[in-house]
Amino acid sequence: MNLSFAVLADQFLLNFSYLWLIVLATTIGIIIGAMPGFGSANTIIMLLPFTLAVDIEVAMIFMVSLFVASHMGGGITSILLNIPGNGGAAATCLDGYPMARKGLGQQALVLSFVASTVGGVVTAGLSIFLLPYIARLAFYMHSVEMVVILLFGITLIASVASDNMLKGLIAGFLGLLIGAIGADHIYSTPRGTFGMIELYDGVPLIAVLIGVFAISEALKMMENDSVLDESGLEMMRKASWKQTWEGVTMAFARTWHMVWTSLVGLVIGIVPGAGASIAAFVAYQQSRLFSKTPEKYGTGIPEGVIAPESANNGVTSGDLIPMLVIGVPGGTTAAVMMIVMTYHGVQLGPRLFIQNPGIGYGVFITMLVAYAVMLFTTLPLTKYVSKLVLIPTPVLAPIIIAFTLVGAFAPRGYMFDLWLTLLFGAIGYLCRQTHFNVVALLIGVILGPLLEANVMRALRISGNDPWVFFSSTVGNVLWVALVLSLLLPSVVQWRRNRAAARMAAA
Amino acid sequence: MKDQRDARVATGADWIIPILGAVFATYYLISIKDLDWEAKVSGVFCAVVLFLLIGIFALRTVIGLARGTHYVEWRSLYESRKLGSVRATLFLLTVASVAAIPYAGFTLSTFGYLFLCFLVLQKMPARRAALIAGSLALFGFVLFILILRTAFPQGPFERLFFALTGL
Amino acid sequence: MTLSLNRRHLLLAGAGAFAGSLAGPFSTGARAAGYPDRPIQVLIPTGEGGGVDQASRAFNRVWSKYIGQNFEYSYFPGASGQVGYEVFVSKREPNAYNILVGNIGPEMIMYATQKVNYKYPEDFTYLGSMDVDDSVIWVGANSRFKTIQDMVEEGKKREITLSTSRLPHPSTIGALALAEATGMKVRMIPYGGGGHARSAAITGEVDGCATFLSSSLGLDGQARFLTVFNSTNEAPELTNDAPPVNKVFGTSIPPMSGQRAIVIHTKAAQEHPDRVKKLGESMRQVFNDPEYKELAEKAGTPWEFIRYGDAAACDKSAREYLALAERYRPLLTASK
Repeated sequence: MNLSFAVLADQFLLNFSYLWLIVLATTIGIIIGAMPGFGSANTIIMLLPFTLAVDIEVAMIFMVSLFVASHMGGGITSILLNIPGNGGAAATCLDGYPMARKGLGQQALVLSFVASTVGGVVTAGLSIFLLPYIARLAFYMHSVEMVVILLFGITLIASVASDNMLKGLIAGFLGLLIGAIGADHIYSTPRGTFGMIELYDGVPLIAVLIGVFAISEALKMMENDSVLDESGLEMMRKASWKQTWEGVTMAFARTWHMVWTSLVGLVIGIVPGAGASIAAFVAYQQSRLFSKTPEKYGTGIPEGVIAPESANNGVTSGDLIPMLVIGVPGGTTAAVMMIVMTYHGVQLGPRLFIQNPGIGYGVFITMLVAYAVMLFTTLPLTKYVSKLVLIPTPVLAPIIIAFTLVGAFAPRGYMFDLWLTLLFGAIGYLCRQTHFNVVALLIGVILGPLLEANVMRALRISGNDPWVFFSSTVGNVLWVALVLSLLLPSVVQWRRNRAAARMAAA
Repeated sequence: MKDQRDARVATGADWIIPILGAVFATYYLISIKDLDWEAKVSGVFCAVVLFLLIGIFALRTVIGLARGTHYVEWRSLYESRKLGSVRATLFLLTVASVAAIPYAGFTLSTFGYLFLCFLVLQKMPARRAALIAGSLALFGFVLFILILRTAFPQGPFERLFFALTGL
Repeated sequence: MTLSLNRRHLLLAGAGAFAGSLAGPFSTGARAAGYPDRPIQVLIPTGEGGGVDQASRAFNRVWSKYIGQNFEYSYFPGASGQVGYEVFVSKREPNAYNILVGNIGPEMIMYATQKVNYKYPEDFTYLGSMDVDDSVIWVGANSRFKTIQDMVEEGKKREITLSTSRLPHPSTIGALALAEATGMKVRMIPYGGGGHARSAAITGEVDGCATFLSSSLGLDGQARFLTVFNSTNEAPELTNDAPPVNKVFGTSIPPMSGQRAIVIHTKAAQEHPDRVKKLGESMRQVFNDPEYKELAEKAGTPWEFIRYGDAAACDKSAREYLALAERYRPLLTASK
């Protein structure tokens, strides 16, 4: 891969000359990213007549900008309304929404935008210079390694439910079982589908997401006139540019945090089929693990917003690398981009960087520029967008329901999905009222199917030898890290208790 | 809830989720009983653990009730009569609007739903409610149907619009 | 390049999205009176951006010139294509405005091995096929298998793992038939999508990949083709001249090809014969259009594979796959 600075400079110039397009594409991307049920893949499909008609460079700039912006937009509704715009933003709810309730919505939005930008820029920058090495990662991340990585995410069920472990685990395992609805991963035989064809491909994540979060949250919020608590309301009324600046300083005080969590996203993004939702949950879990104050996670702390947001934007580079370097798409959006690229006669795979280095590296340059542009377009908006929560709940709740239901319908066009969403809304409401953690449920639904697919695949490859899970070096290192991550908090707690006991004794 | 640990624990309403879970797990196991082990193993694992957890939960509740540390109540489901009826209204209106979509189309059912919600829940004056609901429904129509091309069943409004504009 | 937009796209443009770049081509195509007076709805039973999606988009772009209407796509992947067929049969109106673009081989094997709620040919039938694609086995560039004999030899000592997009697939049956004929032990690993299956073979998670040829051509030097499941290798220069399997082992494994085909409701063929005739005739015209050659190759299908098959040929192929699937049923299903 012949990386020359002339190529990079060329691409920068090209991108700057299409700045208007980047602004347009990122605006669309942020909006669809924030709306549950709409994502970059279906939007790019819809706009194929445009991307196929224009030059490939222009098409790429448009698609890549829209793609990264959709990852950035997902956090907005997570923070303000506790409704994730997509699976990748689900983890952002954990601390983003508590922040918003405290009247720190503006700061939380800024944190999410800055963390997304830093995450995206760091990983895109790294990708430019280390592309061949990063692409090699795919050679070490197979089913076995993915099983362990997914377990990192799954252990989060126990942590988010720490205030009522038993109920949290019940919710988590119920989620895993709901995730096991649908065709099995080897023989495509339907399981637990109640004979409904609509469930053969599994329970649609978006129906669960909207039901359990949006609908049940809307029902729940009727208890008060406002989403905010008293002091939050007071703070929100006084909102000014100061809060935006506060968010920026909050974020950059945690620069290293943004950087390393984005790398988690990059690595996970490279694995085919693994995407933003896993990355966000795993990064959140890791962030909590290495924190000195893990008990504060979930109460609305900046790290809890930064980790999932920078990870799910770190995924964007990772997602596109297999497509560019190997010629195999890593996710749905990449697959759709491939349609456009092959249509324009671009040969993907190893030859891309020899024949068309401009297009190969251009992807990452566009990311850099798009993220920079978004920072300027989004930050000024935070002051206004965050006011959304000032709408009285009897007005806000029906609007949320009406518009998120569209998202539940849109991806598949089944009326069935709307009823399913209402069912999950009722389940989510029951869970919330009786203290079964809905995030635990959601983690089960999101990560369960991936875990099953990887476990079954690894077993099948090995001829059903369970030792396969301990057969790779990378996998074993990850296992040790997993065990440590489970034990470490208790050890730390034990030492603290002992120290406290000693202090008391002295 | 940590702060309630010393107080008596309410139970009753929190039985619903475990019971639903147990029923679903039982159904799931029946649905996969004839399949090859590869299609079965993960479901069986999750179901068994779920049963185990629910069993512990049951045991704990029974012991709690016997010792008097738990007491039965259903209020936590709706909190107060007033809040309960507000939520029930919202949910029933939602159900009704979904049921209306195949006949009324997206725009009209959304308008009706928002209008009624504003009227009943916020006690908004009818004109204002109609104005806000109308502009939101119209905005939704432009965004979701015209721009994003969501394939909602068409209602009188959509049919009229497409007939008039020739689109 | 001709660009034809459907009406809603124009609206989108009108809504201000790309007013500048899209204002030009306002043509609505040749609109004949009567059928079809609105866009044809295409249902794809596999994922967005997959092989069928790409091929049918290339095909339909030219087809729309002759049918005078555009095509709108929706995707219903799941359960190896079953979801798409179920939706098509039970939820799409049989009015010849709805078509499904699928792949005869994999989807008839799926039909035979899974419990489905529709019947062939009572519920759906074929309009025609647009290409023929052969099954192949290939390995990653770093693999120590240089020839198919190497793999078979090793397979007598240990189980060979081959990735595949899904179990009900001609290439799976091909590999299993090869194993049966040579005494090699093979284990098929379904990845739930062609992309994952390919990347597993390239990154060395499995020994090789069993798939259709055309989808693997873009892999360049990363794949070494070992054998082709047909009597001749149709594209030797693109596949490092991999030998046909029967030529190497003297076996008589039937050709394991896939045919991308247009599916219509049987009821549509009965109730609207005029419409179906128009669909069929305009479909044939596509193959003589030089623009299609260009587009097909852009979409990754070599021109050697582009071949029109009529309804009768499709039906014959479908029935052959039903018989084949019956033979290998125990290896392909989860039901005892």
